[in-house]
Amino acid sequence: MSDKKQQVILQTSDDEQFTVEKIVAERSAMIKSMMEDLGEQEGQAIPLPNVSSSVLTKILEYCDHHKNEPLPAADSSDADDSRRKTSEIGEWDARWIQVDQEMLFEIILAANYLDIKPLLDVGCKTVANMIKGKTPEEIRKLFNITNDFTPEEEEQIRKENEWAEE
Amino acid sequence: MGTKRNNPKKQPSSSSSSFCSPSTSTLTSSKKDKLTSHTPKSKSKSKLNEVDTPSEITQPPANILHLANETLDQIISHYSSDTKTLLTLSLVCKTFHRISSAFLWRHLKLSPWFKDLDENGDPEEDSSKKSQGRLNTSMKNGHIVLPNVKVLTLDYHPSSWCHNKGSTASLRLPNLETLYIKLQDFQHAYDFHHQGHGGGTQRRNPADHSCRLLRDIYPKTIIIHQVNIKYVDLENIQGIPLSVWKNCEELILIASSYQWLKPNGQSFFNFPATLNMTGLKITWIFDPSEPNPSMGYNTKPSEEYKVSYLLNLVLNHPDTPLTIINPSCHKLNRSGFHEKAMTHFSDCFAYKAGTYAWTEEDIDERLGKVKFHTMHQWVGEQGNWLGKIEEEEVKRWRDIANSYMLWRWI
Repeated sequence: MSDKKQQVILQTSDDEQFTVEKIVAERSAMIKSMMEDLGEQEGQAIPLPNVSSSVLTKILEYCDHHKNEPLPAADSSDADDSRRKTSEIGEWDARWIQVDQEMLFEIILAANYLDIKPLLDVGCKTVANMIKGKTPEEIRKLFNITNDFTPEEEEQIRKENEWAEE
Repeated sequence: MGTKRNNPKKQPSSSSSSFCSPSTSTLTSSKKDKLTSHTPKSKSKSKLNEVDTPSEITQPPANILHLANETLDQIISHYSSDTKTLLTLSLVCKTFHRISSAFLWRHLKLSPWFKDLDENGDPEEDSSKKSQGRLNTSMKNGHIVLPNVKVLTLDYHPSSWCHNKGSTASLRLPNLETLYIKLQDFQHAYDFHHQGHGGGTQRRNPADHSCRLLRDIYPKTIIIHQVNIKYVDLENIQGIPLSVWKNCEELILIASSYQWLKPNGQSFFNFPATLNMTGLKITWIFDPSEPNPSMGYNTKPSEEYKVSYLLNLVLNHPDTPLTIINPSCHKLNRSGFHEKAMTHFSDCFAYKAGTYAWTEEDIDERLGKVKFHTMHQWVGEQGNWLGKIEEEEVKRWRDIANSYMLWRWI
């Protein structure tokens, strides 16, 4: 990696600078388009004000592992659908995403911001799998969500839901 | 942001799943050199570095409700066809309720029937669903859930079913796109809103007994299932108010009942005056699951002729594009029937239009707006059924049609 053109500098919210292979950074559609906008200005750091260094370190692991895979088409919603439908997570990805909940949501937020669609999918599938088979109370507990319904509202929803039941 | 994670070593540091602070990177050393080289705490002199986030600010820990709406939508979309989980999610909190409602209420099915048939072969009323017809049009969360409804399915039902103690309130579905109506098939009359047992099926003015639930419904796509191929009188379907056709741009007619067809027989077509025929597209589907096998002998002579029943439609509405699905593929299918049916149809049309003094050019132009697809083609190309007709139903048709195709080798 001696060729400087193949590298890019990323700067996180906590002012860390990361020198990263271009092919790795390009997994992020957002960074890719920023690099295109900036052109080949050497030494220019790309600021990522919404990503902390610990999250970026983690995400770069993912990007590095997947760097040789074809990039998803920028605007194919069909591919999106078929990809989303399979709830399978790759073996490596599944191991990689075994993190605490806070980190998981940080990763998802960053994947969304950096526009790394396959990573966003992995994150969403992981969260979806956590929900499976749980009661509303268990889901609230799991994600630390406050029940913001009044008892009347809750009763109303139960009643309305009878319509939707098969 | 950086101050909140105070035990970064919680994960085993050798595992690739660990996360790390910048100064103690856990990337393998070879990777680290290749991938990242840190410049800790460097105050960048870059001109780009104007968005300096003060690292002292402590944000609350990332929570699921911090995720973007589209992300929550994507997470919950994994359960888009899992009603049970969606119902659970709707009770978690207001945000989850809003998102899961979009999936739960997308397709509203109001059906009074069991799938079972009684001893006479008639569909049996499902008493547990009696209250569904009395859909409380003033439901408290109606403003949240009802705008989610894109597809409404209504089965043939007794008029008593949708009465609400004399209420005349209509169902308001502002974002409805598709109305799917399943008729009961009658030999010569369509009855959607029958008058209950003993009330008989005598014809009445449809306006008198129009279904309350349909009075304020203006879908773009209307699907009618159980159309009688010989008698397509959409203007006089009992129970369906004429207003329902007002905004209709696409009509999907699913034909069944191929009994007593004759070679070169004709259909009677009558469209409601409220239906704007200019700009209307029609898709005609020959349901391959009908009729039941015992009726097979009746259909045998007319396998390839049944498509000719559509000639009047093509002739009398020359500007309406028509797509015909499964024009031949039916019981006792033989190879080449699809082509045969197409040729037969074109020949018959050319002959008939000729007797009405159509020029050859006019005939060609008209036939150019008639498309034929086998069931397999139409389902596979994800034709215009997606989001309108249920995938299960469409795939069932395809499988039935395909199984007939295989029969020809036996």
